[in-house]
Amino acid sequence: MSHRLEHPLLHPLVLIGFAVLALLLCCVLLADWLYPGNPWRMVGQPNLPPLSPGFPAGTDMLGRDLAAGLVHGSRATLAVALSVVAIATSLGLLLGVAAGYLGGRVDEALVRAAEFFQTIPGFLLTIIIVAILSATPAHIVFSISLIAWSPIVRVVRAEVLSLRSLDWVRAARVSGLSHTRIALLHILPHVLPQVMVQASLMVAGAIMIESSISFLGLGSRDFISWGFLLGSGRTSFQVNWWLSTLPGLAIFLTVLAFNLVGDGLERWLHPKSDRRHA
Amino acid sequence: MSTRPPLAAPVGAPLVQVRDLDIALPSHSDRALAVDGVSLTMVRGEVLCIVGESGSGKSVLASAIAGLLPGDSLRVTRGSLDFDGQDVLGLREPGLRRLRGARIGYVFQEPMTALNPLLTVGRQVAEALLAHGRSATPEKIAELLAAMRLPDPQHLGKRYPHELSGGQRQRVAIAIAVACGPELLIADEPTTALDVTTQAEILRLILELRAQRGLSVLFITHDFGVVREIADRIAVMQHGRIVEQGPAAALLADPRHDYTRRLLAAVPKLQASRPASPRENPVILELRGIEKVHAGRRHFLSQRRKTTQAVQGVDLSLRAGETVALVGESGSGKSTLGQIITGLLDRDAGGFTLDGSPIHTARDLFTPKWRPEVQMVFQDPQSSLNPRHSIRRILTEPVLLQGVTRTEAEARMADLLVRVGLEPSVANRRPHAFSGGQRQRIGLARALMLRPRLLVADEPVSALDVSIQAQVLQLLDELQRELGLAMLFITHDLRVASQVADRIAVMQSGRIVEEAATATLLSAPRSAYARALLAAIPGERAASSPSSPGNTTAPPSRHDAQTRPLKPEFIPESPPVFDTDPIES
Repeated sequence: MSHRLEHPLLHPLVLIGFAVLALLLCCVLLADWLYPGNPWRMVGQPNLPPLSPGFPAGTDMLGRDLAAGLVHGSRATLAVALSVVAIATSLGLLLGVAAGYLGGRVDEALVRAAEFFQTIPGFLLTIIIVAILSATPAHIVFSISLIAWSPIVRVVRAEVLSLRSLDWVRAARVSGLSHTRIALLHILPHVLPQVMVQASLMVAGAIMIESSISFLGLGSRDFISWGFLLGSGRTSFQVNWWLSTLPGLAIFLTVLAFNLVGDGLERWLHPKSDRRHA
Repeated sequence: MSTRPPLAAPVGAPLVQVRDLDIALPSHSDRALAVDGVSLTMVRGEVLCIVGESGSGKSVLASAIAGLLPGDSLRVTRGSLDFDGQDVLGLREPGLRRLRGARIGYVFQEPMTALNPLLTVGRQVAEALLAHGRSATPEKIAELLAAMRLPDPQHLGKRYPHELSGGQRQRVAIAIAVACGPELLIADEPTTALDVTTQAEILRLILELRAQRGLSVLFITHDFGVVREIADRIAVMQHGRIVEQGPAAALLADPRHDYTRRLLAAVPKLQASRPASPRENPVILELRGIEKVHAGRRHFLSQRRKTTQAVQGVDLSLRAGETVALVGESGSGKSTLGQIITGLLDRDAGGFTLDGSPIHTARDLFTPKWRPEVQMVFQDPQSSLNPRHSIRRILTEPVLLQGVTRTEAEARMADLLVRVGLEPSVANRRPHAFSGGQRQRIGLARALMLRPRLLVADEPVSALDVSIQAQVLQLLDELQRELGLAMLFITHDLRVASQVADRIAVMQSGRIVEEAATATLLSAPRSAYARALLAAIPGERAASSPSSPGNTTAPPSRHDAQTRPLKPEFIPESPPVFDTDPIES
């Protein structure tokens, strides 16, 4: 039982995930240094293919540097995705623990609310909200969070329900610990691995939704984002295949990296991690 | 046992022949081989018991005989394994399928999980028959179920597993195992999860089947009490090796190996081992007419809730320094009562006095004044410790919250860890680093950290191997005496109760049907139910010498163990004349 030959976060696939995320972090932090100035600027000849001198990702039909767009786009895309995850997981955790631990009426009410949001087609709801309110980043984050919290509640609630009946929870009660303490300090950490996986999937989902909104032209025009690049390049795919392919690839790699890291985190945070290796 | 003639002559060719069998565990396991150089022979019609603690490799050996080894993680690396002259190890899946079910029946430990909850039991019996090309008419199924002594065999086939009791489910599992008339029945701890009285019935059923059908039975258990009841021959396993094997009578009378002696000594004896309790100590706990109704879920389209009366008018009192055992089968309400006393459940009615002060609701017990007074030891060592927390946190967190300083808490922890037989240096480890018995000691240390005056122990040893049970029981007993605790010991096992208790309260269907000093209850039980429980204890009749008086006057109606011999005589069918194979022993 005690043997652990390899730290679960050092698994090759997880390392690849971390590498991609590290690259992404570099893009986010160094965007202004790598490509100073406005990425919407026209800087070169139009329609340069990738690997042209000075333009590693080529240019679009207006001569804008795609590499600059990708690097700056990572900021907007990730900012939206991570804000959504932060808001939706904390809300989902709190409500899920409350529903599972308190049970009864609280549980009933919260589950109904979660079901309500799950039955609404999520993407449509975001589009409507973004269309009604203006397309500021805050509104986009709000609208995606609104559809993202309910699956977390359900996962957390189910997990808490099964944990609550375990002897160690009753033992904690009998030794005089308060309900709040048991729920937050004893039960909550057990739920985190599952939430971790959910959160990594949610980053992926949030990136997809944000990209879709931008792709449809509903997104904020104040910032460049991958979804916008993908959408604007789509019309000229026959001529400039890279304009939509490269942002698509960026989205794909980011989503994959978050999933790989999520898996690694789950193995690490799970006390009986060898169960999954078998 | 002495009345039974031993299986004198070898009967036919051996049914199972295992030679020098090695089965490798996956790398990084705590030992290299699950089964290490095992040689074993079984003849037709005999009951061979494989005895050992958990982890001794006995289940792996049984799986190998049935060709059920998971090939990716457990591989046979040496030796041979023949079933009726056929090499099992050389068989591929189709050949194994013809063997399993048809010629080898298998009964698993857990009757809850061995049956498919989505299929009716009749369908599952039918599947076993159809899989081997037998006809599965309703009459045939009813006949099988009737042979298992199941009630209403004509209609029982239409029920689902969850509608049956644990014992009934295990009977269905046996029906499936013997449906195709196998020659060998492998039973892997089939009674460990059952109540004592149910256990006795299942054991009797297996022996009847053996007598009627000439089955050989490979019976795996860790309990020598059960072994005494049914074994013709015994093989004792430790760390994957067979350390001793031989005819049951000889081995039980004269165990050669230390390990066998240890296992035998660990079987709790049914005798009052404590002196009479002091009567003048102050009363700690006083219960008067406790009632508790469990409300079931409301049924769809129905306003009425199904309710069960879990506890009905229970009176109980406990003095300081006294241990009272609450004995009963599952569903008797004993755990509910324990939870009411610890405050985990609220009672519906009745008086509850702790140390002279009335406890109005369960909430009162969660006040800083009363919480340290009543502590609890839980049943399942796997789930009673938070797997994420270090032992230090598990033990010290509650006392730190009570306002004890960290130095004081550390000192108490170190002291208690030593008392329960662990090094204080283990405090930084997490629960998964410990065995079941060690975890149970940690659970005991946790309960004592708050210096309680009343300890409720809910089946604290029933999830442990017999040999570990003895150690934990002794520890509980010692600490209870030293600290002058009042202890309520909840158990389904009268043997265990008799080891620790000054008084025993027998509980049935929510009522205490008899309460008496341990010695009195064991020698002169007044209620029919207490007599039934006594009669069901495995190994006691076989173990009791002729000089010991028959302690039951009238056999209880439900449990007719006393009226006929548990072990029916089995005369093997006409042995071949020329056969001279010696029985390996």
